[in-house]
Amino acid sequence: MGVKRYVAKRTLQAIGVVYVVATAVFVAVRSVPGDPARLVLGGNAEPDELAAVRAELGLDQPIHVQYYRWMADLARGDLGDSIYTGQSVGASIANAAEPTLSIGLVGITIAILIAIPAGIVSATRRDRWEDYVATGVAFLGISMPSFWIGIVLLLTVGTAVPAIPSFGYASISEGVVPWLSHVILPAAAVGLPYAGIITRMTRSSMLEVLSEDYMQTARAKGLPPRLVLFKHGLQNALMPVVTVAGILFALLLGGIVAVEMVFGVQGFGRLLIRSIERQDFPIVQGSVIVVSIIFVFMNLFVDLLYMSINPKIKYGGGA
Amino acid sequence: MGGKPDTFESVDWTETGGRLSTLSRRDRGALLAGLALVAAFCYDFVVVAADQPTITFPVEWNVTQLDWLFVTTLLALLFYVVVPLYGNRRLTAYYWREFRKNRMAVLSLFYLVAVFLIGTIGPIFLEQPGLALERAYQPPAYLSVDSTVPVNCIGEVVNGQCQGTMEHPLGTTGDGKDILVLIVYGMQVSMKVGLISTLLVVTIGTAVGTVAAYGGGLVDEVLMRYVDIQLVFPAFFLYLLLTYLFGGSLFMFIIIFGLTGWGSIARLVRSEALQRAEEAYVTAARGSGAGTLYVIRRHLVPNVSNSVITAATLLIPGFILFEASLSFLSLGDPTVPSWGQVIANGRSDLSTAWWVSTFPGVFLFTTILAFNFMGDALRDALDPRQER
Repeated sequence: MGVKRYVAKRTLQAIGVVYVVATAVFVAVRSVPGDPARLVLGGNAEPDELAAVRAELGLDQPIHVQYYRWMADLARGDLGDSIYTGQSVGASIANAAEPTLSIGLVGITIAILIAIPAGIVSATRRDRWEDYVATGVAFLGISMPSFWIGIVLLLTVGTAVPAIPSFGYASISEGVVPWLSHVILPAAAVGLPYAGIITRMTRSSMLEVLSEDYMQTARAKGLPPRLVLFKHGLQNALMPVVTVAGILFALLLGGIVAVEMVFGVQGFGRLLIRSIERQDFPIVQGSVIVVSIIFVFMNLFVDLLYMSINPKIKYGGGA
Repeated sequence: MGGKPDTFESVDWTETGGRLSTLSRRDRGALLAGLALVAAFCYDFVVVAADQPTITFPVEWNVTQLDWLFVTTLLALLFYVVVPLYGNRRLTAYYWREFRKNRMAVLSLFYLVAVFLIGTIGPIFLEQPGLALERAYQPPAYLSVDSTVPVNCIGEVVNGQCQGTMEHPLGTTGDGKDILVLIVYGMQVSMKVGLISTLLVVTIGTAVGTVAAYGGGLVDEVLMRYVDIQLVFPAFFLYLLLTYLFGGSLFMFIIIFGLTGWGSIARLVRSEALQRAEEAYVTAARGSGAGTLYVIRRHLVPNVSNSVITAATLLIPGFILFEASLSFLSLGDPTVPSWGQVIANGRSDLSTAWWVSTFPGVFLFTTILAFNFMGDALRDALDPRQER
């Protein structure tokens, strides 16, 4: 199979997943006891109000028409409007995206800055104190939920360093320093578990590579150890690490939702949770679909990236 | 394996069938126990009214859906982990020698066994703590807090400091619930979440992986493409949606994560199965007339189980963490006192009553850490091929 066909196949597959998610959401919403109009209006709505909403949502149509409409709206990017604010779902999510993306990206950066060097040190100084320290810290990171790290950071760093505000968010348009000072603690909270996992992966992958014959050959040729380690070793060792990045994205996102609550950041997670509390049904439904789309295409991107950095991979995707 | 011959001479070399009559003693035991469980379940489902306790002796216990699943999980653990280990002592001794080299892992094992036993047995004898506002914010034993923090101090007040008492060794929450009791209940919640979800994941994953490897061709292709899709399916958000629609419940959490989380196990089993199918002992078994089912049951599954058990051990902490995060967001099951829920409740009181969030947090952390340590050590002990 050629590269183009492989990319096409994977893209189609991704679109298929999004379709399945959209269908699952449709089915889930329609299988609620009672009816979705009641979800929109809450428990004590008048019958004529219910009928009006039902007509507006198209719930008086037969099910296949509803399904068709649902998919057609989705294809146009129309996710409906928030019941609470009247703003369109797309705009609500876009407004809340900046803090969440900031925390996520800074978090990943922190994770990588810690994890890759720690993983390398851990592998090259195996069974020495450096390895034990790195492994110990990695285990601590893996074993603490993000929200817990957030609370601990808030109580320690947040209270000890007055320059770091422990609540809220400042947009990057207000300047980089206020932005970073607001983002750094939540980002560290979501980044540390991530760092733990990547450290462990880098370590085991590096250990495997270090025992390969080509490393021996490179050293025997008299290449400088640093060059051997970074060019021959690290390049190969990082490949499996890249593949899990996509899967870990889910973990990161789950972490951000909780961490936003700890730090009072008005991001996507807070929007989602508040919409669940307020029974703002279109936002919840729209968020699930938007996140699924991001998630699926993120994975696609990682897979294609992996393919491009690893010339050995077969385009079959199968055995 | 249970009743499996230990020495070369006593192996029954003619046994190659795959019929029910040749099931090992262990499998027959598991089958019997499973049938008994199904019968008990039918009794609870058909005869006993939903709001009546299933049994009243020795303690009153209304068995829930979740309890049934948990008992099933425990039986599976008994028949497919404990009995084989007990039956094959030489191998067990070998594993133990390897495992013992890692002192942290041994410590973790004992800790987890303790958490498991206390969490399983404790809630039967301890009443679930209820609202008791007059007991709110009691400090832990041997510690004290400014006497303005608790509404009334149960212990002595010395120099304006309320002293903790042994009545509430770890203090109480803002609604007067005893934290130690909440932690014991949380142990059960965590064990249920971790073990049941993992059992679901392992069962489905192993079945799908084996079928894919042996079915080959179209079956393999369809199953593995489905796994690809499932691996990128964001179950977390599906759970959020369902929570919104139907309300959060632990049962739903376990079902959703159990039914959508088996992709990595299926991949692992499939690739191992493909590898093992080429081994000489499988060829030999086939050559002496063994059927596919027999080969799968006697050669494949036992040989793959090491990697599966290791992977499963490392899945458990993930489930527990997820449940804690969701409970922390008050999206969990409001009826069960999970650790995440207690942490969330105590978060606003951290400056005055630090113990409310801290103790459950410490238990959550140590439990997950212990599972991670164990998984790591198991990988070293069970997989002799891996270089250490």
